[in-house]
Amino acid sequence: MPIKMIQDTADQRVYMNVTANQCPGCPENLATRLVMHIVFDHLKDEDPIIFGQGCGIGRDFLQRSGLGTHDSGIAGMLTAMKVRNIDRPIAVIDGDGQIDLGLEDLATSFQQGYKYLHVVCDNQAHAASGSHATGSTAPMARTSVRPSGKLRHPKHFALMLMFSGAEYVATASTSHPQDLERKIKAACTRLPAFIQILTPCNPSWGYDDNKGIEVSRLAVESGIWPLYEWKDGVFQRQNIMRKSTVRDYVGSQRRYAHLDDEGIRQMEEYVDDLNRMMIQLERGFSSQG
Amino acid sequence: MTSPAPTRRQALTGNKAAAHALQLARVQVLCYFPIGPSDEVGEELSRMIQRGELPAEVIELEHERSVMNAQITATQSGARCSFATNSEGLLIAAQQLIFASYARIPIVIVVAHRALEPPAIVRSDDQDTIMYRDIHWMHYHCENAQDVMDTVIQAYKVSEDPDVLLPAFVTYDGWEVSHNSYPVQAPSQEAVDAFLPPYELPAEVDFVKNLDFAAYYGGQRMSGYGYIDVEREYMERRFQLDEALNVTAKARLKQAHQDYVNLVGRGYGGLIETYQMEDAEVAIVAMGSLSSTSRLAVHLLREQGKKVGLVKIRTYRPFPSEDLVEALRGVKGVVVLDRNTVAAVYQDLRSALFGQPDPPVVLGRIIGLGGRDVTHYNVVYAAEEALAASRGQGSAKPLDWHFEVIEDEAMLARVLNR
Repeated sequence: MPIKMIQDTADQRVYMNVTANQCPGCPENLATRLVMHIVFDHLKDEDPIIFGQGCGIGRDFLQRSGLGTHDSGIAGMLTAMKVRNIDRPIAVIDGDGQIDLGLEDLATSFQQGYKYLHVVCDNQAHAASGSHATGSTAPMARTSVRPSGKLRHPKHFALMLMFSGAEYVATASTSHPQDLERKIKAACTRLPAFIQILTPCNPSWGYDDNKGIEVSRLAVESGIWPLYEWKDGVFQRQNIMRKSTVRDYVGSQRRYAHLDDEGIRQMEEYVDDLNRMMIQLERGFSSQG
Repeated sequence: MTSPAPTRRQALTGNKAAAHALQLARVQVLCYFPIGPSDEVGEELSRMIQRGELPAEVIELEHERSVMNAQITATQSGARCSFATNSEGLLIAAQQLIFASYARIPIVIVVAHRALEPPAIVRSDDQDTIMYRDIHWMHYHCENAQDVMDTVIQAYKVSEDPDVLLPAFVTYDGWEVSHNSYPVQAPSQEAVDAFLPPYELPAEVDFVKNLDFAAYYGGQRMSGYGYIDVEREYMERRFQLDEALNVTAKARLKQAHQDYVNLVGRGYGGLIETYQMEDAEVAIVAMGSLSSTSRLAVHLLREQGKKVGLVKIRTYRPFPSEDLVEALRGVKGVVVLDRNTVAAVYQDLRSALFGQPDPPVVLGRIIGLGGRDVTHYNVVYAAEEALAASRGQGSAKPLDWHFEVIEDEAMLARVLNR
């Protein structure tokens, strides 16, 4: 149970990727431990394989040849396991760099129907390499190569995968661990599955080390990180009270420090458009058909 | 041990010979991405799978990088894999190539050479694998379809040797060898099974079967950031890699070749093969299909009483320095035919001969790039240059490019008298 785990780590086994030395309070590291915990717990009779690599995730001994190649690597592993009659579930955890430089491998492995769970811990930055922007970085956010703010909207990779072979797609957040747990369990029986978890990054985003969960909660409650799920042909948004505003969210991070009122208005427009798209998707792919 | 009965001789292209060899090697996973002229290897294997003649799974991803990555992980996960590609396919997978050798993963890649672009080209030269000479892969250069068939089988044996564990290119000239039919005699399946045991991972590295990941991630963690101890480990691992290629693999290659000859009754030398070198004053050094052309040139020159022989290099990496020094002892002149832009064999041979007593005069000739024809008259011309240079005559440059295709005897005579 993730909640219990957070409150009571002393009695619990803590799963850590090898050599994961993060900043204190790293949400990506927390997400990695949560995912490992849920998968190892939920599938303990099936002896799951988990590997991956990322700034807050760490590097394990199953390091793949080159960034963005986890998914073709899994294609090879699953094929060899099939040949050898070995049946173990596989989950991979990596960062949002994967939806840029691993896009081809990820899209193709899903399209080819390899059965595995892919979890992306999305901190909206190449955080281990100086916090440069990725395809997932939100608009207007300051990054090391664009000090004046990122211009383009992010790619919604989970939505792209919905129509390209995925059996299950969801977004999640470390601020909502029960939702994350439910989604991982749902994903385990609907493979290939893709879950993108928002994991703020202390140095990239510019907030205090103890504020990681708070910032991700603001992202969910302001609507800038909508939680949704695509399962059995139905698209569903999670009902989250919009208790915070975009102004609250951008105010919590120094990467938006340069935003003036006009900038915040543009951000609000972006969030409105995004949520309008979510509502339309929910209407279009509803359980009522 | 008595050899099993030989199988029927059949006409096969180089590509089909490679496919049949891979079938005999009982590959379990076919990694596939199309590129000519290597394409036919995967196509032929796919047909075998469809006809039920080869129990293998197919991996078909979006480019050579991902396919080669899948080949690496499937091999790490305990399956013997095949993959055929060349030129741009090898370029896009550069990171995977280096990972395979540095992580000591014994993959074998069949390469029907194709020249690099730009300008746009589909025809053949060696540049696509020669440019990877410095990453500790094994490079086999095959002369014809029979050589391809026998070398593919031997390549798996050497690569998978627990003391070697290195990836290998088995290469042959695109079109000249890949698409021409040759008489080929396949070894029997029993002979290949006796020669090449099934691929098996040691239990301690067989992670898909044996590793308890929950215990692994739940156990004590080392500190650091995923990098190894630079002061104690990095150089040592590279040294082991170099030893594996340049010491161990050389010995195992020769042993594998000898074992294969004993079982199948056919062989082409371990690292090099010599032809009419016993009394030779001048040696032609060549790789791939240029060796066949050079044999004909040797024949013509011998008819004129000129003591010329051939040294065919079978493995460009590991570079057979010792064997070449031995084979060229007493020779007065050497001409190296290089089908690449950097005269790679010429440079390596000069290094090997440096400091030897009475070294021969060595000429390097860059020839046949982009699939330009190289006739046996071209080789005769190069050998004549070496004959003259070995007597201190002529004005041939040590390293030169040969552009002209010498089409017949009359043209050869004209060029020689120029």
